[in-house]
Amino acid sequence: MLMLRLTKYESAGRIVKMEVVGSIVRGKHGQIQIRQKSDADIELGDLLVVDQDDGGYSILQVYDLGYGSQISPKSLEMVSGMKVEGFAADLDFMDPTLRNYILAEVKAILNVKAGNARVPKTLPKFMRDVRHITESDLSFVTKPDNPMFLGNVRSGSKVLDVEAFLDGKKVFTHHVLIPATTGRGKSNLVKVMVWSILDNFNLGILILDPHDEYYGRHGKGLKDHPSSKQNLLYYTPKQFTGSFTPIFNLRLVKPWHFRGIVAFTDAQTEAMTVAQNNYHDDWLIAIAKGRDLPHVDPKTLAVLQRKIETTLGLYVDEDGNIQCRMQTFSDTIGESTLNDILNALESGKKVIIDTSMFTDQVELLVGSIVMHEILYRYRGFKQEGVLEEKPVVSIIVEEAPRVLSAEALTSGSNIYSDIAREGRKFQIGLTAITQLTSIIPRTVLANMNTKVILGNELAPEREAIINSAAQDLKEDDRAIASLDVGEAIVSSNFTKFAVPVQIPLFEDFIKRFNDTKPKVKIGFVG
Amino acid sequence: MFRFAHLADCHLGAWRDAKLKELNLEAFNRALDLSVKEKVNFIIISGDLFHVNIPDLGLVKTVVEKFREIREKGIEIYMVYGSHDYSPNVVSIVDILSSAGLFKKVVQAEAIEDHIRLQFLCDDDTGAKIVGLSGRSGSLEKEYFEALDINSLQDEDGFKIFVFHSAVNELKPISTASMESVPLSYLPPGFNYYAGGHIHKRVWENVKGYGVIAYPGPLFGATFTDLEDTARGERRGFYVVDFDGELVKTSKFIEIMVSEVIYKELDGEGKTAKQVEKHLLDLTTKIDASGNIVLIRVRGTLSSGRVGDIDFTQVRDLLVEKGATYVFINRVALTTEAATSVTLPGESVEEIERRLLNEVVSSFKVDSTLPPRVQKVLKERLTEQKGTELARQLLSVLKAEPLQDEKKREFENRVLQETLKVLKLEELE
Amino acid sequence: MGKSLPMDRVVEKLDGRLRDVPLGEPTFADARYAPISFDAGHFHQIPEYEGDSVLCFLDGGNMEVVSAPNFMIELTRLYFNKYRGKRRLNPNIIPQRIEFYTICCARPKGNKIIYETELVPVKDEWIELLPESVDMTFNSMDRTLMTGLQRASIDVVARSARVFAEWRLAGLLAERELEKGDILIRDGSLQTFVTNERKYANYAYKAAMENGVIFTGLSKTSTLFTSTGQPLVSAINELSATSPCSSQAWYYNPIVHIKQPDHRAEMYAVKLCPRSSYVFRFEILLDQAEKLRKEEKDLIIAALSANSKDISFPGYPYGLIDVDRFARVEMVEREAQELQFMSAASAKGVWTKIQRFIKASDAHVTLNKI
Repeated sequence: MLMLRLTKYESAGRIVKMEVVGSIVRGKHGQIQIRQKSDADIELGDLLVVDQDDGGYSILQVYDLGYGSQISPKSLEMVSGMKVEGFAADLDFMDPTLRNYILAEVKAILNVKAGNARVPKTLPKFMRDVRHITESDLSFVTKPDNPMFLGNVRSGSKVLDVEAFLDGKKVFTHHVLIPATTGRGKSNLVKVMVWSILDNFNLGILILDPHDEYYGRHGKGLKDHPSSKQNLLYYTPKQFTGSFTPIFNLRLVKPWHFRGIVAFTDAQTEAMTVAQNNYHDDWLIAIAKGRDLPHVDPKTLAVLQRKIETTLGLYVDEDGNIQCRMQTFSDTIGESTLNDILNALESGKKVIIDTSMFTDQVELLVGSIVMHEILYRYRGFKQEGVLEEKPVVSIIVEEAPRVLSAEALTSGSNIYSDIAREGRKFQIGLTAITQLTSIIPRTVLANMNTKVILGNELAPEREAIINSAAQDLKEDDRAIASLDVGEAIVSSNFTKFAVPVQIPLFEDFIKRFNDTKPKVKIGFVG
Repeated sequence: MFRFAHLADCHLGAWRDAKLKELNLEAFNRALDLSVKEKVNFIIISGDLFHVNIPDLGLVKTVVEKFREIREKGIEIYMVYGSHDYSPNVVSIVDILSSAGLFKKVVQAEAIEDHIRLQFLCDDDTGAKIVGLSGRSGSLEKEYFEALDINSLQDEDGFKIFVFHSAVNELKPISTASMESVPLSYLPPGFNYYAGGHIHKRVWENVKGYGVIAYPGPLFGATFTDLEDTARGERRGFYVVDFDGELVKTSKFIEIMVSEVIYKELDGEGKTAKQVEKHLLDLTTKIDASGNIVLIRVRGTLSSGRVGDIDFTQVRDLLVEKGATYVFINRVALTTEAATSVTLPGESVEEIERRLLNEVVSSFKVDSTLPPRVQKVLKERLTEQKGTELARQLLSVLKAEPLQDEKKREFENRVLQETLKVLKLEELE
Repeated sequence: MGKSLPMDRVVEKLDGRLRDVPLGEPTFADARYAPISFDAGHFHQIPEYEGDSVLCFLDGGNMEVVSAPNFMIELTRLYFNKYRGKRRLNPNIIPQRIEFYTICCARPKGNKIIYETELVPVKDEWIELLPESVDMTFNSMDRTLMTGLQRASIDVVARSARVFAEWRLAGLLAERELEKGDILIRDGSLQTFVTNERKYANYAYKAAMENGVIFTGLSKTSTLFTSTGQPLVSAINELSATSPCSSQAWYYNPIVHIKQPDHRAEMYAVKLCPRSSYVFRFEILLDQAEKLRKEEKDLIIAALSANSKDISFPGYPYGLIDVDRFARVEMVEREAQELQFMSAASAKGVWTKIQRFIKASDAHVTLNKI
């Protein structure tokens, strides 16, 4: 039976009725202990509030729960033994709720006064009652410019009617990391995020989609957004009306696009340079067709040719024409594909490239081609002084360690790590999704200023995440381990605290945007 | 074995200059003559036969005569509208010629709720099944592509030709990258031949899942950009395609060269006006202008002097004296340091118009004090692509010239009615 | 065989002295106590309790703050609780915890040294809940306070304030907080020892009798013996083996008839839980016990037994565990209190004067620190 203890607490003229869930009993800054009221339920990750005398209040977050007792551990064990072994049927604890209780370890995360929230530098009053957070306690949270929706603020497993937004422009230029193990809702999160910014033209997003799960070819997806026709481009090699074919003309590919994606020997790199000098934009076609390259060892050329063919899936047919097994590259068509994608991103549109039929290397190469060129364009805009008028561009890459891990970077950087390091200067960002944060160098992680942390059972991964977070999350190890599907903690330089959120299920989320227009007869002319 | 000719983008009446206009017409006539010579069974014209929807009647007369000649030889002509020779608001000359039986419009569509079902036209001679979609200005035909009832098209047997007047993203050349286009996936799969128009470049591609997708390009060209491309080696002409009941067998491109085009560029960056003039004059001595079209493009920022100080007329006259058919010196991209000029990357009049209108439209804001319903309608119709297109249509209507013998009051009334049709004010009631 | 350790020799000697002896009979030095021979028939099973009487437990604790041969300051804490069955009740009128300082000073009076006591409550309004200072002025040679022939030490006097305050509180509880049929249990017996203590005990008894509150006391320890030198309570426990209710909760009565005016009690030995190995001395106010029927006494003890089923200490009333915890003044508080005193004394400029007296008796403290 829930017993509410309502306490009227006068605080600088503000009478607050609280449902008390506990009271502060000991601790120190960052490690405060609260004794939980017997009929209250405090969960890991709960946000609690303690009111202050000056009209302000502190927000606390629960990071650990433990048992407390007035009875010594040995006696408790003895008592437990007696009960379990059936020796004490008629005996029980008197004052059970007073003598045995739960202690919640909390940390103060914010002090709020007159609508201003600050990092706490003082302790809340000793023995002060605490209560669950309410929506009005978060009234200082305002909707930023270029809002990107992440979910509703969560207290434990309870979802509050407070929506959590991040400023998409800031967040994307300062890079985003989404660390999570499989099945924790990464794809759902990305869909919700991108949906919420689909008609924001200040944000251009490129998604490399290795599982073809974002557009919604079968089922709900980003295609169902009311503005998807104007603002969403979907590239897929599969036949689907309305989609574009991700076919790139070989003349668009430059030697540096392969950097960090495909490893070439020095001799091969030299050969590529010679090809470029002699054949210019046709350099790759020349290699694929085995044309002569002056001063290049034929063996080197042969190996290079094979490598190019294997990587890109190219072959020369009996008519001497270049074909591509993956239909991704061509020497005759696809000349404007790159331009179309770049223009779309530069207009703040969202582009999905279905890479589910690509090899890893081709997927990353395609991303590399696009991002090299967008970076080139944006460098130009910066020189012209018009960069700020342009939308921010971010690329969303899954299994980010393929390009960001220490191992991937041993032979040199790639465009993805370049963007992680210096893309911010050019309003270009990287959104990296990964299961293995621990193998990404700290120098890279440190640049990823927003982390949307989903559940992760692996301790080394949590440690890597915590060590690179924008807020002090060292007490949140358990909370992260216990994050359920759809629950996340948003740690960002642009939030006042590490915000626990509940990401809605995408299919439920989009219902509020249901824009089912009645079927209108088309007026056909022509 | 059967055979057809595939032409597109003739843009008859495109040029102001009489000589160029004439050359354009000559290319058209030659193409039809060659089609007869190739013994084609039918001719497909994929839009933009004329440059405007109501062209000069003299030109129309010439075309009518030519078509009649072709028809009398038993060669059918199949056509779709293009983005230039059609207007949804008024009857275009293509409609009149079609009604006169000079050719057949292949777009026979039935709108069924939110779908469009196209009806095949069967060529009596060859049994080829032809269907298509016309182009509309601003690529507004996109919504028709989206609404196509693909299944009914796929279910049809036989040798199928899809005629259309749209750029396709995946196929358009890089020089047309900024052109509005439709994705490849909009084309109904399973046709044997896709007769495209609108891109002024030659494309021939056998695409997996589709068939042959072809753009013959213009026969002569409608813009100076076209002529520059010709000078750079772009071949002009049309396709002749052999097919049997199932497949495209062979094809060839019949080139039409009514005039050679010489194109030169001069970099005026950092030079004085006098120096540029001297360079131009030197250039004229090196050009074999006789019987050719000469195009010179001058660009850069002068270090001193004004663009007006350069005697372009003298240069032009020298080339004409040397026998040039036509001379055009493009100095849009030549400026002086002091001058403030608007950079217009587009070269053709249409491109410049479109870009200027885009810029103006993008700065338009709907008055927020208006009722919400009105705001919504204005936002839908006056902003972004639709706004630009509406502006273009209005511009097109408002710059119309009186027809021959048309009285002033009749002309005014005609313009007013056409303007009202464009504005579709009745939708606001 | 190796040389035995000293402790081994100690154990041997003790074993030699503690011989199995017969139980004997209850014995009392004071002739006003008429013992009753042991009889297995005096054991009574404690019935299951099904009533709803309120049990009120109280206890006190105290701690020296500062001391010198001629003065002492103590902090005393009194605490009570109320239970109805297993349910804890909130107090209605009396503050649940009362704290006060006792200042006891030695003063010459003629050729005697007397000790005068003054009480300073932590909250001013509690003064009326406390005993009167005048009742705690003692002759340092008061026999009820002396140990042997030595002058009574000042700390004994100071501690008497706690005892007096407990009686006073008991009376106030019976008067204002409890109702007819409720049972009051103090920690300890109903015997008074110190001069003037009887006055406060009588006040409490009077309040209890007038309001129908049953006045009782439970002692954790007992120094009573049998005639064979056995502790009385353990002898009764041993005797219980011969009783049919040995495996149950039981009480043993009668033990002794008491006609001592400072000890108005009917005495019991109680084993409050079958599983418990503890037997405690329990007393009911004689004036009330004489008027109660056996069934009513059974109910009182049964109520106490029902409160003695806490799994942490079966057989001991949980109410007393609770009051003991909350009345206790922990050693850790002493330092804080000491510092507070020194700070207040310094602020008033009297620390130097006071410190002179403290030094007279704190050499052992200094010695302990070396």
